[in-house]
Amino acid sequence: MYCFILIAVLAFFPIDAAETRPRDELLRVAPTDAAVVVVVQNAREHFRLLKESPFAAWAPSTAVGRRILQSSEFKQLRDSAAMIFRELKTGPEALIDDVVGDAFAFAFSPPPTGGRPKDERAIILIRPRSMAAINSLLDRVNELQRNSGELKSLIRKEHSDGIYFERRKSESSSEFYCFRGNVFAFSSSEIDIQNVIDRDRAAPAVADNTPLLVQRMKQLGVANAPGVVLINPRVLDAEVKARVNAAKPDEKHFLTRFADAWAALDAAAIYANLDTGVEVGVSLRFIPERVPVDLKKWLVGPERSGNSASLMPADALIGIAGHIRAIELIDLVSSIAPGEPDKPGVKESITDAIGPFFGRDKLADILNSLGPNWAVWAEAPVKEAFLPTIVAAIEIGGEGEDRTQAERSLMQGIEFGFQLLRIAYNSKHSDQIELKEETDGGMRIRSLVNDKGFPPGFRPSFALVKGYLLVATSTEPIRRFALPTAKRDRANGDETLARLSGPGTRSYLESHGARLARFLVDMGLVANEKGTRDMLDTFAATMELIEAVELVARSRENGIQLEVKITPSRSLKR
Amino acid sequence: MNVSSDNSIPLLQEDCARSMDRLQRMLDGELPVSASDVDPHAASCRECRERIAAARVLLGELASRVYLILPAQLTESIVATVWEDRSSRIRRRTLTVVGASIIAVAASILFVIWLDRPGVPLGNAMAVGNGEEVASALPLAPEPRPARLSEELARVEQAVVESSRPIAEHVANASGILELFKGPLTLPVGPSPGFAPTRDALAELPNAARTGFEPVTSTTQKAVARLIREVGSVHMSTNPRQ
Repeated sequence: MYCFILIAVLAFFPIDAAETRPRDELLRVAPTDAAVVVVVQNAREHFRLLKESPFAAWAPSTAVGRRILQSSEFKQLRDSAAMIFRELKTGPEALIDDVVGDAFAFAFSPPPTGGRPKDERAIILIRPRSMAAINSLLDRVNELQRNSGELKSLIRKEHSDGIYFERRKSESSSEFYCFRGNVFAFSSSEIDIQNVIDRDRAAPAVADNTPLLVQRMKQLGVANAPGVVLINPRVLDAEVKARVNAAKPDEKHFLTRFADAWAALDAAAIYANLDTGVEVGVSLRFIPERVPVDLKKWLVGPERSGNSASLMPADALIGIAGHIRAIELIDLVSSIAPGEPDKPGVKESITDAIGPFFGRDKLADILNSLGPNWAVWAEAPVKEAFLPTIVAAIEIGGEGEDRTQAERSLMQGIEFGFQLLRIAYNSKHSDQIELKEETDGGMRIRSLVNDKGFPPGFRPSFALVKGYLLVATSTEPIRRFALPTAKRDRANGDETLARLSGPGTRSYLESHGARLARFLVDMGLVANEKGTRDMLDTFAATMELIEAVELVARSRENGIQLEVKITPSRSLKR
Repeated sequence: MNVSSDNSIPLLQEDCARSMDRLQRMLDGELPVSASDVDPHAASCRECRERIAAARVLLGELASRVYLILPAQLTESIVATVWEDRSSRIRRRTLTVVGASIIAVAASILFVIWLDRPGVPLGNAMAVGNGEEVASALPLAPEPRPARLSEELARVEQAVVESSRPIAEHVANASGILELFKGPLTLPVGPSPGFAPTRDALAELPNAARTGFEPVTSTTQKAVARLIREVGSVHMSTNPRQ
């Protein structure tokens, strides 16, 4: 387990691009047909950087850090780990420096469909820096296990003129290992060790040929990530097909589309990277000619140029943004959404539901004019309010008379919706909603107003501003709305899809958490006010660790990366 | 066929069932008490470890008393407990597997930093024979037994998961908070009846996506479980080199 801990730790350290040789040596003897290959590389330097980082010095003093460090479980963890290191006559630094600090891999394949669990394949590969260190460690482990009766015998074996060893722990339980060059291989299945010997004999030297798994990592853009989980789609084809065949009627459509996209998937990886913050993502690479036509734009299309995230103010608490026209979004959802064949599809039901608001004959033009830039976000409450202000901004595209007509139909439709809301509410409440209109520098803002019935500061409003339709729970963000900047969200082509501010969210919850909990109880949305308050407080405490979280999309050649970037409150690098 | 979560069940069943079978045979006197020492599953399964520990206490009691009448249906009772507990264990384990990497990383960073002390020099390599069987008939553990690495590692595993609970709870809270705000966002007006198919389709989308990705998630889950099994019982040995 403690190897697992180390692997987990190491997965969060950055890597020097130049130091790839140990990884290559390791992956040269790894099975290329495994379903999953976990690779952890260059941990030594990463560990050093993290240990010396401002975050490492600061984290123990935070509320979350204190809670972990003061827990009895952590004490047990510390005691057990200390005992293990003491027994092994080593320490975490020595272990990282000399044993697992260069490269580690674990390859796994599940049993074939219908196969037995014992048919699964797994192998652990380590490329230590110091053979003496790993030998000493192994000797010590062996000695301890011999003394405790865990190890019964050690048997020398041969396969294709290569030597490997069986560790017999009982009549029915054995483990196997070998050294091939600078790589140590271990498995509880004998055939996996024999396969390592065979691959070592057959594979060309690293200097002559880049190992296939390294090539895949490079194609996926994760070759230098300290922690990578490579996924081989072909091994899972049969299982995906089985899912489609066994799908319920309402899942069939989606799973069939999923299987089509899966068949076009060439390679995939989940990766973790670290610089001053943490990046965790998924990288997908497709075979373009196999990608379904309607999905090509999204999976292998040209690099997107959206700047919609800059619609959100820098101090927004949380928000999502996109660069897609409403009509494209509806088409995309229609093409993949689950649904039963004899029922109306997404597109038809949207037409039925909102067509009457805008006029069915005008709906297509309106949907076509909505976008591509849009964003929805929450920002700090306006004065005297305790609910965050929610804002949606949608670009209205098109030119000339078409655009004017679309804008007019849109505003009429939304106003009609506001009126319906007002009538529905007023018919059931003694307090009444009014639809008010105010102008500000040529901007016409229409709002639902009810000082008695609405929470303080809550005033649902909409307006057309600078080519954008704005809908918000207050007029203030509409008045100060600014067009997105022309520059890209990030220089490297990242498109921000979502963003969360740690300090903003924490500050809001600390100031208004109690009232928010009370409000949710009053609205009948939750029953337990104290439990809700505790939950909000706990979440606020977590935000102490985080400066920002972003979800970004990045186009790659024949593929796409989706990445969560976590910026901690203190840098993870000195 | 819904295989994802189901796929993991036979694995757990088989491991736990094998452990239970071994335990039962030990209780029946068919196997020596030391048989539980070499149960690899116990190193990675707290419940089975605890059952083995309880059985050892029971056998200790048996050895110290003249008569001890075992309760009727003891086996059935133990097995029933195993199965009753299985679902919740699978859920816990699924959560552990899915979240373990992220959670363990956070906890482990603190853990390693906290533990970081100058390392003790490594011991000398042991001499190993060249024969066919380089070490055999190794003695069983004397009493009192020395610390067992696999048990200590299993404790570490458990402690990592438990001590990272504060972070796990916070992560779970985030989704809970999102749930809180789903209500207000849909409150002002009920959706038009015509919108129902779209609403249903969108609501079903995450489930369908989950089903689609099950081959990946279940395989990753199995891989993590296997990795834990492989390293969790310290499967490393002496160093005869080629």
